[in-house]
Amino acid sequence: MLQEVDPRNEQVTVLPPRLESDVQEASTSSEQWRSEFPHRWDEDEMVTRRSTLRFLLAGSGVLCLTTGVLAVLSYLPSGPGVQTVAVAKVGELAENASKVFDFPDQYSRAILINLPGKGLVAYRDECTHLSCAVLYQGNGKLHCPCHEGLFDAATGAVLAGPPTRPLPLIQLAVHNGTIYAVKEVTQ
Amino acid sequence: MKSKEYQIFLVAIVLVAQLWLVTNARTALLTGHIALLGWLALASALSFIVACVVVVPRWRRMRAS
Repeated sequence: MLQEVDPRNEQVTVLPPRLESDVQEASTSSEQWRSEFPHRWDEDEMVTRRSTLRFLLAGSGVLCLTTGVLAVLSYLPSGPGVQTVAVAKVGELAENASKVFDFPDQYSRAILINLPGKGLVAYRDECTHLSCAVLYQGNGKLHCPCHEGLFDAATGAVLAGPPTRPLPLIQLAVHNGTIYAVKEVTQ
Repeated sequence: MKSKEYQIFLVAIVLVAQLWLVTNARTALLTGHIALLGWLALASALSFIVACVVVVPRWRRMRAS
């Protein structure tokens, strides 16, 4: 049985069994300082390999779940699913003409274009770079005057400039001679 | 490097890879590259499986002994 001397009252006390086993283990693992200084305190807890692996595995699981949640979030509808807005009458727009309208509410705008050979297309009237309004140039291209971004009016794809994403497409429907904007479709 | 430390090293590498994946997933979500997100989630799930394969047999051996 090991004994220690309490420096405060200089009484000889008997070590608890757990500490004694720790001391023996330490001395066998060549940690001489523990046998020379056999006092136990909370900060003396060692981090085991098992606890490290458990911690790393838990972190791995959390990161896996987070990535999965982000993937699920991307498939959720970002706004109101269907919100029909009357845009124009059929035949109102001449070829290569455009019309800006509010969609889906008064705070957002979209642009309807009558493209030669393709017909009516509509996009969100907001550059995907820094949200400036884009303008139809009449040559099959949409132009963002803020940073010289160019989009293909037929597909909404980026042709030039800083934007990296295509313009969101607005799905159209025709009913009783009226063109309706139905919903936004992210490309 | 001891074999037990080698397991910790492997799981730590997997964790770093998953951090990179989740950062890319966040960027993809914010920039609208939605098609990429499924692949990133799949890669993260595979990484977690790899981490489990590395760790769980060790725990079983320790319990058995």
